Amino acid sequence: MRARAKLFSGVLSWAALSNVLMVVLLMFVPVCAVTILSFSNEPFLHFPPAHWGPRQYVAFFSNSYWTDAVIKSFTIGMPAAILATGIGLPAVFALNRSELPYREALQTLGLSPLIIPGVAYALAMYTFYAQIHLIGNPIGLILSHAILALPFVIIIVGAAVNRIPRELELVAMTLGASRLRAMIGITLRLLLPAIGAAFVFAFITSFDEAVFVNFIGGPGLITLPKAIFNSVLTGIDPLITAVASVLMVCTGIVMMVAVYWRSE
Amino acid sequence: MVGDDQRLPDSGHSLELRQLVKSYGEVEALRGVNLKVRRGEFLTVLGPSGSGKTTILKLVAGFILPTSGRILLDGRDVSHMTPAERAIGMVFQQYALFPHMSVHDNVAYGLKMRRWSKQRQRDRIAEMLELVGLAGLARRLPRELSGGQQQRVALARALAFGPTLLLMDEPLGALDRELRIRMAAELRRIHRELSTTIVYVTHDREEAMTLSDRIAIMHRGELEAVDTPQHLYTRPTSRFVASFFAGHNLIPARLITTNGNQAEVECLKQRVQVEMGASLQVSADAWLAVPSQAIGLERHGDSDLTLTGRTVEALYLGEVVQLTCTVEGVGPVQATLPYRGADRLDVDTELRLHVDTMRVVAVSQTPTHRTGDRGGNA
Repeated sequence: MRARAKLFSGVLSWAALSNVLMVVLLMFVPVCAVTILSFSNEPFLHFPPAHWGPRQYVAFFSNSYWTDAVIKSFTIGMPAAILATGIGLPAVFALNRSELPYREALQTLGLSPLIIPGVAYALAMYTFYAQIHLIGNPIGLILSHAILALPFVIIIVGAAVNRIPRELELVAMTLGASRLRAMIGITLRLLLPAIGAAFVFAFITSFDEAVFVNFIGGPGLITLPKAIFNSVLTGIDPLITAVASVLMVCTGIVMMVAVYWRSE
Repeated sequence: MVGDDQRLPDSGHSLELRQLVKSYGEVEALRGVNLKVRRGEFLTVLGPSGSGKTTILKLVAGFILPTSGRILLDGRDVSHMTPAERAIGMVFQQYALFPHMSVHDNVAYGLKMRRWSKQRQRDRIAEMLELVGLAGLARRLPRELSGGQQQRVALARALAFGPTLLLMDEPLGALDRELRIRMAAELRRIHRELSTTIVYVTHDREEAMTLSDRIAIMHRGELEAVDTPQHLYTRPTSRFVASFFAGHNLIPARLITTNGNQAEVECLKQRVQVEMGASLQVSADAWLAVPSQAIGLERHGDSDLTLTGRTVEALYLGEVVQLTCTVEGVGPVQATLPYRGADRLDVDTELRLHVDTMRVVAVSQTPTHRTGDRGGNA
C-alpha cells in the first residue's frame, strides 16, 4: 500500500519534471539562442558569436524594408483591434444582459474562429475575397484579422462582465440614472481594464498573424511576420535575429500589461 | 378611467398595489395582489421562495412591468414609470456598492443624479453617515469595509435623497447571526428617526416579527394575510399562515357548528370549542392550529384536547424541552414544555399530551378575511 503511494508520487514528480524540461528545451533554449545571436557582430549566423555588437539591430532599424513592415503591421493591427473590440463589446452585453433567445448559439458563433483550422479557413477566405476583389487590399486583411481576434474579446470581456453584479446597474437606476447612463457610467467604467486587455490581445493576434497575410495579403501587403517569412525563404540574413528578439520582447511586455489588466 | 384615479384624494397610503398580476407566459408569479401600505409603516413581505415576494419588489422598484394591475406611490400611478422616475430607495442583499467609488461618492450618487450643489451634497452625506454610524469613513473604498459597514453604506446611499419609500431585499441575509441582530436594531432605530415607509422582503419570520408593524404573507403568488405580527401569531387566518409563519402544529378536525367567533369541532374523537381564525364552512375540512407552548403533560380542565402518541425526540434547551412526538391520526407534533429538573422524557415511550384549547384556533386551507379586519384593505 505504502509502496504503491510512493510509486505514484514518484511518477508525478517525473511528470512534472518532464513538463518543465520540455518547456525549457523547446521554448527557452531557442529563444535565448536567438537573442544571443542577435548581438553578434558578424554578417553571417554562427553560434556562439565570435564578435559581439549591435550590428543586427542597427541594420534592422535603418532598413526601410523592415521599418515599413513594422508600420504596416500597425496600420493593419490597430484598425483590426478597434473593429474586433467595437463589435465584441456590444455583443458581450447582449449575451450577458439581455433576454435574447438562442444566446448560447450566438456565443458559440462568436467563438467559432477559434475552432476552425487556420489554413483551411484562410484558403476559404482567399476564394471568397478573390470574388469581391479584396486580395492584396488592407481592408480585406483588417476584416479577417478582426474576425480572428473577436473570440478573444468575447472571452475576456465576457468573463469580466460576469463578475459585475447586475444589481449595480439596478441600484444606479433607483438612484436616478437612466438605464444607458447606468450601463455606461457604472458597468462600462468597471470593464475598462478588461476592455484594455481585450484590445491588446486583439492587436497582438493581428500583429503576430502569419497565415492569412500569406493567403490574402497578395504581393504588396508586407506585415512584419510576412517580411520575416520572406526573409527566411530567400536565405538567412542574420539581422532577422534582431527582428525576432525585438518582436518577442515587445510582445512579451505588452502581454504582461494585458494580463495585469485582465486580473484587475 | 385612468385619469380619474390619479385625481383621487390622497388616501394617506405610501404604496398601493391594485389587482397586481405578473405572468411569465404560462407561469403566474403574482395573481391579483391587493395591498395598501401606510405612510411611515414598516411592512414586511414574508414568504418562502417562489411565493412572489421578490416579484412584488421588482414590480414596485420598476425593474419589471406588470402584466396587469396598478402600482401607486403616494397616490400617483407609477405602474409604467422607469425606476429613476419613481424615486424609491433600494437596498440589496449583496449591498451592490459601486466598487470603484469611495463611501462618500457612493452615497453622493443619487444626489449627483438630482444635481444637488456640491455643498448641499457634502452636508447631506455627513448627515447620512452620522445617521448610520459611519462618520469618518467617507474616504474608504467598499472593499476595505466589513459586511455590516457595507450594508450601512448601502442604506445611507438609498436614504440620501430622501425617498418616501425604502425597499429592502433580504438585506441582512449575507450577515452572520450576531451582526444580523445588531443591524436589525439599527434599522428599527433609523426607521423611528426618519419615519420613512419601509417595505422589507424576507423569508425569515423571526426577522419579520421583530422589525415590522405589519406583515404581508405571500403564498404561491397570492397575498394570504396582512396583519400585525401578534394577530397573525395568535389568530392565523389560514393553514399556511399557521404553519409557515406561526410554526403551529396542525391537527385535522371537522367543523360541527359555529357560534359567532367560536366553533365546535370534532377532533381525534373528541369535541372541543375553539376560536375561529377565519370564517369556515360547517362540516368542511379544517385544522386546529396548536402552538407548541399550548401543549402540556397535565389536563386543562374543561378546555382540553388529549393526544396520545410516542415520543420521538426530546431536546433540552435550557429553560424548556422541545418534545417531538408522533400522535395517532396526526403525525409529528412538537410540544414546548417547561423543564422542571426532575423531568425525564424517554425516547420511544407512550405518552399522553394535553392541549389547552383556549389557545387554539381553527383554520382552513383557503385564507378568508374576517369582516372588519385590519388587513390589506383597511
